[in-house]
Amino acid sequence: MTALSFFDAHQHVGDLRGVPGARSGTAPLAEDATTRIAMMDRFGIAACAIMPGHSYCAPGGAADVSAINDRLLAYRALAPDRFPVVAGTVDPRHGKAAVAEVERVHALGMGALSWHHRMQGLPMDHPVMFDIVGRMADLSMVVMVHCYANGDFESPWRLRRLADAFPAVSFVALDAMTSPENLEQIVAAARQHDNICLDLSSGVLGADGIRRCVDQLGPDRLLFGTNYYSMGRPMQLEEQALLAAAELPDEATALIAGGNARQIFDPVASVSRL
Amino acid sequence: MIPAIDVSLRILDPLDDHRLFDMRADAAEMEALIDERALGADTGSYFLVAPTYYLLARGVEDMAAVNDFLVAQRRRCPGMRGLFGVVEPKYGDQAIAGLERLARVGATGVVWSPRAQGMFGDDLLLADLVRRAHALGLLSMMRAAPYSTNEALWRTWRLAEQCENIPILVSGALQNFDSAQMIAQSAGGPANLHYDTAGWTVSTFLPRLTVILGQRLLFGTGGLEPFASGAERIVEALGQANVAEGMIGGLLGAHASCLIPTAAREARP
Repeated sequence: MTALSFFDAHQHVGDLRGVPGARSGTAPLAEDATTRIAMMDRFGIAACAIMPGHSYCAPGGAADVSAINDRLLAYRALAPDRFPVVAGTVDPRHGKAAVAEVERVHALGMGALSWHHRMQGLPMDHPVMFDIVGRMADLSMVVMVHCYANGDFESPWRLRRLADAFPAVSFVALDAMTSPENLEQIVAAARQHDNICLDLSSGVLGADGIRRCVDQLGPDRLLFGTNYYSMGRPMQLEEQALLAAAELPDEATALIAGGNARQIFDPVASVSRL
Repeated sequence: MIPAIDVSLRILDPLDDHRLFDMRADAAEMEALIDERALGADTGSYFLVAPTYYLLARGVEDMAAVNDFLVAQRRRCPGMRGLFGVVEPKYGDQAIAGLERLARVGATGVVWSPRAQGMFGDDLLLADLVRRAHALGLLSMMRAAPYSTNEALWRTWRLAEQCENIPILVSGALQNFDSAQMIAQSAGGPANLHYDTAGWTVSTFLPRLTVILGQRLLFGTGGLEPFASGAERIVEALGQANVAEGMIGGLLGAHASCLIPTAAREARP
């Protein structure tokens, strides 16, 4: 596995509040980045896409979300070769102000945006999301959405509506493998819409889930992703173990480990060299 | 007609569950929605509940605007006995300040919508805020959207256990067949929980719940139907099931008076 060059499509800068046992609290950016890079080095992860923790506090409304995005961009600046892709967020409950933020962050070099709609209070296919993704389509940005099983606002059928409306936009379904039915729905959506790919984080289906995806979609729609949150020090990466256990052909494994992510994100972040 | 008290007349767009209300631009339309739902409330009264979704681009300012709108309705709506305002749980110190403000303006309580507020319904933060609200004399209403995982009934029950002896009014749980079964088969769960009738259907087996829950079941439309037809539907269903008139009257109004003592007093100006 160490011969593979991993690109982790799913890392959070921030914490996962509200979940018992999850780490909470934040560290200064430099310390956070040092810890993250140490983890990445340990597990052979060359580069990653970073996004915020989506349970943020925003009493200042849109201004606070802008600050979150600025923080992510500052984080990238600490090690741009390790964190080449920044997928900030905009809050759907901010209405038109969210669309303005899309334009602002794109101008600052952000190539993707991300959501965890069950943490952000509106469904993935809310009309305002169509406005937001529409603007992202104009700007050729990548959409990253959590599709956690039974997260009603994150239901795969909602993703399908967006993917159908914006066929030129690349959609990454995060946490797709969080239940058999969830994966089945997302795979069905991906079979109809070739602009949907999925990551293998939170893989409760084990290696079988990976094989199932490859069997139905081919090896080029699945991305390696760890769902890593700030300041974590994992002893092992389950997702690497599952990928190895899937015993796929070397070429397929290499695509999933990093080739597919590099292909998706290269237009927005020139990652193919990383 | 038995005088009824609707404990959960929520401002809701009947054509769009997730409509993001702009408290400034949509004020007139919201007032029209209230009037439409309050039709027939001259035979009773209601507690006005904030909409579930509203713009928050200005953060605390927008949160306050929702509550200001509700307060303003007191002057306009003779049938309004009180209001359930909003506080955004993830706003830190501003959430606590929001509760204090609601108490100052004489709100009946605060409505929590974990799904819309991006929380899990059993979040420790939410439990803390419910306790704080209670200390300020505010009754907590907890939304229970059907088949929502954030607002799943088991989460509400966990929250209730964290807030022992603090009454919490759950709105919308009966809209979910599975939740209605759970409530019936567990004698209503934690004793400090009360339930409104919002969204109930034939599948809810309302007569059975009326007996099981007793004083813990209150008439509330959740804004899902007009006041008058909501009350009539309950009277008809319970009458056909030969539920005693006293129990029907309790569900329609007396239980609210017990749970919300301010209902017996005139609303503050």
